[in-house]
Amino acid sequence: MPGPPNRRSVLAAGLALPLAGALGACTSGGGRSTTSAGPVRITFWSALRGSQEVVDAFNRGQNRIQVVFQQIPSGGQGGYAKLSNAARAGNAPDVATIEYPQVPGFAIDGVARDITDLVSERLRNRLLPQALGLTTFAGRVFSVPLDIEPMVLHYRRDVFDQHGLAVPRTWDEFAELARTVRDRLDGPRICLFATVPSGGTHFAAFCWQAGAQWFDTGDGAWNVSLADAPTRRVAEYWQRLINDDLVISGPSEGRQNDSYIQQGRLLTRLSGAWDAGAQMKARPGQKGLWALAPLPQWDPARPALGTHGGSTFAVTKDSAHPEAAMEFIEWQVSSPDALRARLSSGTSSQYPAVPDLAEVGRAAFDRAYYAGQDIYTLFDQEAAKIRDGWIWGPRMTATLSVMQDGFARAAAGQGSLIEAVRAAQAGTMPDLAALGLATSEHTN
Amino acid sequence: MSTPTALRPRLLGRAAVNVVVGVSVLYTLLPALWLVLAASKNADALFGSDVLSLRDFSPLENLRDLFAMDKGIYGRWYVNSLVYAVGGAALSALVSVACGYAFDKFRFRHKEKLFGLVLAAVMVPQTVLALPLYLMASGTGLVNTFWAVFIPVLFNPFGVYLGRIFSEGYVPGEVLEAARMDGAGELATYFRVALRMLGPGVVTVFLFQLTAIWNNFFLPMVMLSNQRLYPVSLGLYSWNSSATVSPEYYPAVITGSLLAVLPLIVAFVLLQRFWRSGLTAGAVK
Amino acid sequence: MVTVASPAAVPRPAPVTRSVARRGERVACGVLMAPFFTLFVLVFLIPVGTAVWLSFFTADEPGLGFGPERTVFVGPRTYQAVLSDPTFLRGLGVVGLYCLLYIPLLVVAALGLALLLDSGAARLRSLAQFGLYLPHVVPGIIAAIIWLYLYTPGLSPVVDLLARADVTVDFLGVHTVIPAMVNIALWSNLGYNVVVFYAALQAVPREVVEAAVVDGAGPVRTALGVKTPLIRSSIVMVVLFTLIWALQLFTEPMLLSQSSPMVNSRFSPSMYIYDAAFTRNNYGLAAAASVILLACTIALSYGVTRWTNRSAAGRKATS
Repeated sequence: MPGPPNRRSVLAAGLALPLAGALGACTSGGGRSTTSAGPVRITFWSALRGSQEVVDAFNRGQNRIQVVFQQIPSGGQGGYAKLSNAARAGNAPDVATIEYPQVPGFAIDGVARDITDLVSERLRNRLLPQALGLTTFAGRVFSVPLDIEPMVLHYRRDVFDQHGLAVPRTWDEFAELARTVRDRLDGPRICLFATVPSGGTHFAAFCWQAGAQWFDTGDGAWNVSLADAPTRRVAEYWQRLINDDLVISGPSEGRQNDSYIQQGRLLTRLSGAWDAGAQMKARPGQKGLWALAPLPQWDPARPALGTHGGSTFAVTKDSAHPEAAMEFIEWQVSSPDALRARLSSGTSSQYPAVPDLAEVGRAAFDRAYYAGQDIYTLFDQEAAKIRDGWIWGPRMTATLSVMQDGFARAAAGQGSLIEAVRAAQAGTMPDLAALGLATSEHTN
Repeated sequence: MSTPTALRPRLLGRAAVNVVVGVSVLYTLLPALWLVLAASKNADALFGSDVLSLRDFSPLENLRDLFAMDKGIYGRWYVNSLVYAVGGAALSALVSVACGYAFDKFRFRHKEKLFGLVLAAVMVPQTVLALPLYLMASGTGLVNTFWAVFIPVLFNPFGVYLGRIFSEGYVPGEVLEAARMDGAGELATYFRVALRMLGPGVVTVFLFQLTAIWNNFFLPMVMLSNQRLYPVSLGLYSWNSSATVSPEYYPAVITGSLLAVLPLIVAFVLLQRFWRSGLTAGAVK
Repeated sequence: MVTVASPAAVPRPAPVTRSVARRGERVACGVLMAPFFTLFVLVFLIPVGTAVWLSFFTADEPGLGFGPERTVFVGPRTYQAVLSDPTFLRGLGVVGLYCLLYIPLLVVAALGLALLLDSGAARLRSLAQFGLYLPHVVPGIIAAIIWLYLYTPGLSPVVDLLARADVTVDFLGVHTVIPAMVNIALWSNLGYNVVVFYAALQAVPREVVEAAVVDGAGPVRTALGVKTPLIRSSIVMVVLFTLIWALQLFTEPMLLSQSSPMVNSRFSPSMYIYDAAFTRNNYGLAAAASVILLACTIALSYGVTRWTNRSAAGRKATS
């Protein structure tokens, strides 16, 4: 019915525009091409703390791109399932957060888009090459690293001092120390051998350091050799520590592990750089008791290291604005303002994949908990040792989960670590075959 | 456990028979009794394995804690379960019995083959249907909604089988003939005459499906990610997994379990004869 | 969805006197059947068809898999993958062992109790039946929770009592975890099957039993030699339904997997299917595993009915 528009319809029209934009962003990941002059809207999902602060800072700093952030559960808690489901329904966010081991899986499933041509030369040069290597497959880049986490040794400085224990520099020294701890101290053990739910990533870091190459993409095929010589060496090493009751083997998360650390029954933790900040938050009462040192080496003359933890950002297939999404990602991983915003939400000791940002982390980090130790200098030095060329597999969550089940059985006295590793390979190959991937298997 | 050696009343006497039956009843009842006791004890008694003593009762406190846990989401789960189960079972019973009645009273080509197909559906595992149902729900945008759980549970081929048997037993042909003589249409006859006679059968099918839906765990697990849509079964499962890390969930899981069993026990006690008619109809045939 | 029911509603070309009523009958039949068959197609036929389709046509990821994917006919590839997966085969083995333990135990125990109740020697029969039946109304997940806690040291009075008697049992250990699950299922279903058998025994004509007694058969021979063969069809039904139910083993291991390292995420075929579909995002693999599970169910059910038919025929021939 033609006539002068009444007040309500004007209001409705005024509301409809931004609302339609928001809805579009939510339900189709901004899947329609926006031709209007307003800012480009992109959506961003992450489980990382401080993401809201980063997004706010980004939105404040410019007016061309408007990021809408949604906090989601971490990957293992349902975050990855949510992402897969959304991608299947065609409404994945423009930018998703994916941890390193899951990057190839999401790339193969077509959730993470090939962004090789969107990564600027400047960003490429600033990223730690080993970090970018972990998200690059057959020369194509599928996500951009935020942090890279060299595995380090967190140890109880007070107990070490009290009993005159020396920080081990090699794994042989570490095993010797484990024996000393068992024999001289009543109750405590040198460390935990983690089983579920994250023992697989711990073990992978050990093997990575020792020179293992679980997956290899040479000759255009996934060559799988989980039980290669370095891995067998690592498995034998830890098997001996378990058999001789030198370590506690059990769940890496949960009440029991927490109380072990709380009660001082574990003298070291072998984990990524990020864990220094996590420890501060989880156990403020242990202030001053912990210090950090390099992870023991197999051969100190040729030091090498694996990583433990770390996240990356991917642009998804559903994104209608990949350039804008990439601009946001680049800012997030490489701008000092972004890191400052992230750290403003609370303590973190993550090591940035753009190493020149470490200065920002150093400045923001309260050293009191670690009795003034400059942990970022340690991280700088350790990050350089990360062995290049490690490749995560196409179905890493499942591979690690089979392996961890085996670890849990081994911890209960059933089977061995190397059997768990072999079982993981046997349980992975059919998965890859069913996907139609070219594979070859090495069971040496 | 009873063994064939216990089947010798003459040698072992009546006493032995009664002991075997009595022990079996204890085996089935004691765990249920444990649940009742554990749900009414405070957490200290629970963790001290001190459930069997007569001290430390705090049933009301436990209930209060249960409904306070995670902002009272248990109440929400309970209501969800009631809606899924009562609504689903009622609708499902009507649909199944109507179909069973039609199978009994009407003749058409390939009837028995079609009926065989319906019966074969009983054999198909839920897990086989789960992924396709999930993909269909995902495609239609129903995933993670009430309907994703509600619609599949309406399908109950065993109910059709029971419906046919009840129709044979409860609705004599002469009654239908008489209704037709009075000029009533087929549908009117069904709704005004036959359905009333089938009442007990509908209740039986309803009860079976009520239990099945209340038990249902796989389908909600596949379909739902929003905790607020969970039925009790899935909610308790998720709490139990939290309990492995945070033990304060244990008392809530136990009290919640007891409360979740109550409606079924009430239905069972009040409507006992309907259960039995379903069991005998289902098994003797 | 009238189209669904209409082929079924085609009248039989038989001599019918009430030809005027046929049309109304056809409509009524269609109306009464339509809701059920709508569901039948929607939540049964299409999903089963989809499962079969997914197992043959799946997203193909050639080479390293980073290129665009396309859906193609992959033939038996997915089936080969599933059947070469040791974790799936172990799951089949687990479920096989579970059935071998559970089904005979359940049938023998339930039949034994029903015969005892029917023998006239037992007292308080309906009370006993009520007590035995009660666990059946406890939902499976809650039965699993109850028993999980009864197996857990620190929570369980059973473990506690045994510990006081210097007996340590790990109910969720390597060799005990399957019996532990059998126990949960037995507890849930024993009473149900006792009631089924007892009802069948009640229907046995008294004269037959009396005749046997007159012939000098003792109570045991009467029970095993006379009554039991007469309720054969009930026993077959129970075996069949128990088998179908047991092959789907999911709820109990899913719950126990939260507490026991002996139960992993691919413990039974149903758990394997869930894991393949929803944590590995490998639909083809999940679909092929479902079709294999379905085929096993059909084959075993067919085997049970065939075997009992043959043994019945054999018995008739010899007697």
